[in-house]
Amino acid sequence: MGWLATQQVDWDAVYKDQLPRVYNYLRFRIGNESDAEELTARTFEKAWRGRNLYQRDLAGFSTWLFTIAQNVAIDHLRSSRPHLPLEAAMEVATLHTPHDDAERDSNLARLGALMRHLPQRDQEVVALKYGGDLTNREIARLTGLSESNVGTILHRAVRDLRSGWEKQP
Amino acid sequence: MNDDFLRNLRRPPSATFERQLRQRLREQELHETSRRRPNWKLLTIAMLVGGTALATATYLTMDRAPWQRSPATPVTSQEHTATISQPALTARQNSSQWWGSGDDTPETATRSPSAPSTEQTKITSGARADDSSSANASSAGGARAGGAIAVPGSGTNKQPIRIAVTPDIEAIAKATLSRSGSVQSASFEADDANPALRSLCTGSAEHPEIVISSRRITKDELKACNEPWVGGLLEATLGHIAVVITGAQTGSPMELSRDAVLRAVLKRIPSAEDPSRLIANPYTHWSQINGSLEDRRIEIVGPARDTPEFLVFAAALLEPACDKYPSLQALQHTDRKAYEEICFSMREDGVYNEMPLDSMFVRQRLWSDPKVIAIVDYPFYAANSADLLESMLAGAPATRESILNGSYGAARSLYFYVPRWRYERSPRVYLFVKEYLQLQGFPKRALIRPDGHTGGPQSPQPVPLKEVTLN
Repeated sequence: MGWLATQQVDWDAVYKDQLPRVYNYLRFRIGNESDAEELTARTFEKAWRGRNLYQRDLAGFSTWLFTIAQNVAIDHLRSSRPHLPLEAAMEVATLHTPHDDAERDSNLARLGALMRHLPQRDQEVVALKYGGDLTNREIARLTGLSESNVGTILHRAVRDLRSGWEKQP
Repeated sequence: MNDDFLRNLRRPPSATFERQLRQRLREQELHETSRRRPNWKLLTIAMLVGGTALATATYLTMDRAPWQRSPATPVTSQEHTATISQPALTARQNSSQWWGSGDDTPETATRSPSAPSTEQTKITSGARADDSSSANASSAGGARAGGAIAVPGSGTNKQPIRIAVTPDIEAIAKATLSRSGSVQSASFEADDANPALRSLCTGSAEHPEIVISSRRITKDELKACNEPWVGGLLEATLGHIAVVITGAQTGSPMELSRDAVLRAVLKRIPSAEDPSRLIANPYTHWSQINGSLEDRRIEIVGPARDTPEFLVFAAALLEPACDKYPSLQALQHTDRKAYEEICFSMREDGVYNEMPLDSMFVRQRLWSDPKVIAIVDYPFYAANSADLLESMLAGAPATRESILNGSYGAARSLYFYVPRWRYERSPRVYLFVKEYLQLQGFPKRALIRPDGHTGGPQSPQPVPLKEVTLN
């Protein structure tokens, strides 16, 4: 029965649907294309092993997938987080190296630099919303926040990002 | 910049990456499928070899059953032989009482030859009439010396081990057994520590064979266990359980009593005016519970009712807090179910939120709302202490030392007691104890053990069983 049920789910379609969402969530969260690819692969490898548990609940699978992605991102950020005080983060964002200058050309890199000024929670919510393309309700379920709180955080975060964007040359 | 601008920053993953990942997933799937696919040829050979080995091992060990191989010494110094009739023995085995008809002590075991007997059974002084499994072992290998009963044709022993457990740790002790399939032959009776520990060594039928208590036995209670025929009492400290009331490191600390926590989380609470009357929880702010507390909205996250962490919370904090109210404490003895319904029912008005204690708990939930009070078990707290406030519970701080020495206010200890003669003479008790002390049934991370290990499947060593000596 389990085998038959598995056949009913088009995992290929699920893969096509979910891959860009997870990938973009991680791009927004990490701000680095190659790391985002590697972390996306790691997320899918973990999720694919247990996907049959969700053969009757694809919404549950999506939530689970993003939970794995969140954990993978957190582990990555923790392992690569520079041990600098918060104030130093401002300087990190404005350091001028050739590499940084090149990155600055990209809008995502600019956004990444601005995102670093936001609290971790707000970064997470923004990445889930605009990278993962999740609804406020899905974000609320993933983060344990209320739906209205998610809306408030997004509003405030976008306002701050916009303000920073306009100030940057 | 607006929503559309941010959404336009999304881009599809490169085709190469998409293809490579798909390939990796396919390979992973194939690898796992091949790992799962049984090799029937190998399996058949393994079964044949295993079966032969098992048969050989069974034959070799028939001579010396595990309980006979224990280093234990006989309880009584002189062994004497008595006779016991098969009908009398069977009657006792079939009895619905906990321990047959009370033929529990060596003295009573020797008092049954009067019944009409067509088939006489030999019994040595240390053996118990109810231990039909020992009888089977002996009958299989013929009548042997060393405390075994020879009962040709006797049935298998289905009598559950009688365990008395103090009510405050009953839920966690029961959960432990229900998780461990091989020790389900136990029957639990909630009993206060005083009568349970006093009766443990008396050896009568209606009394427990094992006691799991939240306090140590006293010198006075130990006296009965030091009778020569009992041979002393064996004790194992299973470990300690504790919960911590905390919050995100960025939040502001408060000093909370157990009662304040109780009043914040329970669905129904004793009225402040008349504590014998229960009212729906009216509190929305901590300052309403106690004027000295911060005028902060009560928001609590903690374990779900069906989790091991909740059992720890219930045993270590809710129950002691509830017992401060005489009417509730009385209810514990008269109607345990009603007591649990009151003392373990959390608010459902959004003040208490259930959250699993995983890596997301601190990073997502607590960081996002530093005003939230969190209820976590001690091992989780210890592992995440860098990100959490110190314990908000009034009194000793939540440290390993304060839990082990008993000064921390939201901790409970689990002590395990078995009289030596039962352990050494009763195969069913021996086997049960051996298995139980592996702590396999305990939820991972639940126990704080003095040796630094935790209980659960990863527990490397069984808990040592030692003779109790109190000065």
